[in-house]
Amino acid sequence: MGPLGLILAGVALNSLFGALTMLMQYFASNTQLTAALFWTFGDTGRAGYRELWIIMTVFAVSFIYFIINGWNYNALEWGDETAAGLGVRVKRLRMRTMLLASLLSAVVTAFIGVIGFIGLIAPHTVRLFTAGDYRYITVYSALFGALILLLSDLIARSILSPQVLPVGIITSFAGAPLFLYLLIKGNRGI
Amino acid sequence: MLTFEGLYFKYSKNAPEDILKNISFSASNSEICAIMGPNGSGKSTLLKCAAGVIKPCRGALRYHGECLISNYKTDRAHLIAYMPQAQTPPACTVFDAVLLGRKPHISYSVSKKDIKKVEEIIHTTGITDIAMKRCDELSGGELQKTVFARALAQEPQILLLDEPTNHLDFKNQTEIMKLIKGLTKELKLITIAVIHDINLAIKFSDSFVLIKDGQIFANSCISAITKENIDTLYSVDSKIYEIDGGKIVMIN
Repeated sequence: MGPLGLILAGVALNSLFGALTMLMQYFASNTQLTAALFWTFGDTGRAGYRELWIIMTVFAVSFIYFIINGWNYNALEWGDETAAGLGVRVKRLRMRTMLLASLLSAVVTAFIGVIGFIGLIAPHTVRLFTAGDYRYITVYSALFGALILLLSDLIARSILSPQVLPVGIITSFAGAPLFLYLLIKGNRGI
Repeated sequence: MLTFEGLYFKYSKNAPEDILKNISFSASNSEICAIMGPNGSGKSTLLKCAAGVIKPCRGALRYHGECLISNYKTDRAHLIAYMPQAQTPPACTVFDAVLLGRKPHISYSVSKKDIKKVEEIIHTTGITDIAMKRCDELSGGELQKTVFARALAQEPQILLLDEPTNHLDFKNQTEIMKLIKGLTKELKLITIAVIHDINLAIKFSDSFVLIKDGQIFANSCISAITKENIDTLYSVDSKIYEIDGGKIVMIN
């Protein structure tokens, strides 16, 4: 499946799960409805230690898998055939990677809520400095993503002090134009 | 010696016709074996089968008597280097692209030996000047040489090249074929290459496999290149001249 197919599949799935969310909201009580609405404003304050441990475990497992497969991702950049010729089991790698990536983002989103754009901005920025080498992209985008989240959270907590904003609003506000900028200016490697 | 024994292939079980039918031939060490045939005759499919990118439905592929079909992919990458037809280069440097060829030999961190090997190969293939250039900014010839260098970095015993001279100008065509020929002799490789240019194939290859409609039509040394064979293979009217002891094929 090409990039276009992937995006269209994303749109279709988005609409499907949007409908499911709406269905749940329709039959929910007022308090539940408010909670669901607040969940869409991603906020780091929502998770306690129990949630953090769960997130950490899933992160550790998938991160180690991604790092181990750095070379395989590099090979995949040259197309499936080249990768297969270099000994990569393409189908299995792609399946497991997608599964782990989906699991990781699902677990984080379930506990923290929706915090957009970090997953787009971090790897694409890092890619500009690492010459497309996935051995480094994985590590640096994890670090850089964490840094962006921390910075955004700092801004969210101080900008309208004493009112605390959810960090998801800040990242979406800053992320959308920044992403467009990266897309137009630096389409090297994106 | 690499031997194909009755290879059959089709993409799906329900496909009416096999793409490859009863492919049997063998390729020897230190020799370039040219695979020729019209578009869609199954040349690339044959290379993919040999490289392990796709699995043949029936038949065997043996290297010194050992069956390769069920071989684990990394083991196979130690033995076989495959250079596919179309390349979509990412934004990495030429050096990194060649280093990628070491992948079957490295688990995670790159050793000094790997770096040294890559430097050596970059030198032999004559791409030292562009080693730090980005792959998506290379010309067709430079890219082809880079990809060939990567195949060499695998330190294979078998080279499978799908149109190595594709998109290259006259000088680059000769250069890369000379390089392939030289290394095939020097490293005692088994080289199987899909080549479209008949005269280029005649000049550099030791044996010829002519494929039509998924079947081997003729397979031998230069004696396979006859007017009758070329005419039937490509449905053309050709003429063969003998100049300086070599053959040249022209369209009548």
